[in-house]
Formats: sequence, C-alpha cells, structure tokens
Amino acid sequence: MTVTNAGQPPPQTKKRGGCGRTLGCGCLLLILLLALVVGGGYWAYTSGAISPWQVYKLSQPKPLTINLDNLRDDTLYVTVTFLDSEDDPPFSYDRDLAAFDVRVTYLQKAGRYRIDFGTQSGGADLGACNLSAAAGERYQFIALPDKIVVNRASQPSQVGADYVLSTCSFCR
Amino acid sequence: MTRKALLAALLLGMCLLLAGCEAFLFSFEPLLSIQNSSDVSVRVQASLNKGGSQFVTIAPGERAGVELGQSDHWTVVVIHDQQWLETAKGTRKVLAELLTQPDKMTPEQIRDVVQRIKNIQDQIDKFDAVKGSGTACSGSLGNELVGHVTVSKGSGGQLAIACN
Repeated sequence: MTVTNAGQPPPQTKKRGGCGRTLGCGCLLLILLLALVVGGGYWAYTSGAISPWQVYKLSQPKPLTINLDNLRDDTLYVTVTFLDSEDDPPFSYDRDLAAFDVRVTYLQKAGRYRIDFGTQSGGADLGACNLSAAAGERYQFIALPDKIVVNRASQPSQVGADYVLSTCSFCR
Repeated sequence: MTRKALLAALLLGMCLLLAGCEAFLFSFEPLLSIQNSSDVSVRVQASLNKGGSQFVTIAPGERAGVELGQSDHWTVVVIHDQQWLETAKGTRKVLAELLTQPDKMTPEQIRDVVQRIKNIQDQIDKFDAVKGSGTACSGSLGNELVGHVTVSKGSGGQLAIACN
C-alpha cells in the first residue's frame, strides 16, 4: 500500500524573524532618527543656532487671531471658551479690557469657540458669539456703548446684519 | 513573547515621548510682560512686528501681558491718553451711525464699515509722533519666550520706559 500526499499542501517551513525582524529594524531606525533629531536639536539650542522662539514658531500652526477693541466707557470682560476641548471643564480664559483698550488674542487651535462679552467678570450680558473658526482666520470685535460690531476680517461679509453681534450669521 | 513585549514597550515609549514634546511646545505662549512701576495709571501702546498694535491700561504697580503671537520684536510707547481717546471716540460715533439699521445697509455702506474697522488698526499704527518723544523703547525676544518692559518715573518726574 502506497501512501501519497498528492493534492495536499507541502509542509510549511518555519520562517525565522520575518515580521518581527522588519518591525524591530523599523523601530531601531526610528529610534536612531529620533536620537539624531533630539541630539541635533540640543546641539543647535546650546550653541545658539536656534532660539526658543524659533522652535516655538516652527511648532505652531497658523494662529487664529481675535482682535478685541473696547470703545465703551467702561471695562469690557471677555471670556473665550474652546468648545472642542477634551478637557472638562473646557479650556477657557478671561480678558478684561479697560475703556478704550485694544487687545489681540492668538488662538493656536482651529475649531469651535464661544466668546462671551460682559460688563462683569465671566458675564455675557453684552452678547456671545459661537464661532467655527479655521486656522489663519482673523475676527474683530468692537464693543460700542449699545452694540458689539463683528468683522470676519479674513473674509468680510456682504450682508449688513453680519456686522452686529446680535444678528451675525456666523456667531450663532 | 519577550521580544514582542519589548517592541510594544518601545513603541509606547516613543509615542509618549512625541506626545510630551508636542505638549511641551504647545505650552509656550510668547508674551510681553509690562510692569508699571510708576505711581500713575498709564496707557501703553505695544507695536508688534507681525501683529499690529495693542493698547493696554496698567494701574500703578500692576503688570499686564501682551500676547506676541508670531512676533519677536516690539516697540512700546507710553501714549498720551487724549490723543487716542479722540481717535477712538470719533470712530465709535461713525460706526454707531453706520450700523443703526444694519439689515438695510447698501453694499457701499458695508464697504465703508469694513474700511472704518480697518482704519482703527491703521490709526493706532499712526502714533509715530509719540514714538519720538523719548517715552519709547524697542526689544526682541532673546533666549526667553517672555520679553520684559518696565514703566517708571524718571528723575524729572516724567514717565520713562525701558525694554530689558
């Protein structure tokens, strides 16, 4: 009686180090690359070839710019809250502008923001703007005694109602 | 099994390192710190090389921070309040009149509003006369991400400003 193995797959030979070796080499290469970047960066920093500001500038996306002009006769309190924040409570900060102060705020992350305007710290009695802002955009908010003027400076609106906070379509 | 665990640990370590680097870089906020060491309230104009100008009012003994954004050079002046107030009050009067009925504005009026808003920044930038009065100084970010400015009373009782 003859036994044949026709029609059956040939016995598999065990490959040594196939996937694991590639992964290992890739990791090693990545570590070496990282070490080179870190070492190079450290050398450049200590030798004065690059300054912290240059590192900061390289690392930052194009900022979102918010101009705040207080043309009221009293102090304006502004609270900026990042609604897409993963933190709980969401990231926010306050700015208080004395009468006729002009401030610029740079926001590093694009996304949804809520900007509250009040006559007291943390208040929103003068209005609020829910913005969906993209990187590189610039918005101007000018507080007048009876209204807050809004301008999307990077792309001015063609509709008059968009220039007043209470009727602005991109501040819903 | 040991090799795979080692690789996984290495990958995790690298991810944490990269995340840490990102968090470290994003934690920086270049700032111009202005200290008012005088005994009077001052209005300070900070002109930034890449971000226009800003006005801040600082009470005696208080400190204010001006965000630098992408700027690394500044000129700071102690401004005459009256000069700025006249400009600002004139602008707000015109804006209030133009925006009485915003939904009925013509395209021409809208262009006028946009131009008026733009002019606020331009007008602030035009306080060149004050810059020559001796109450101004300029500075750049060096090895730190915070610039320092001090306002004080000079020997003659006049305001003096120094960029460190």
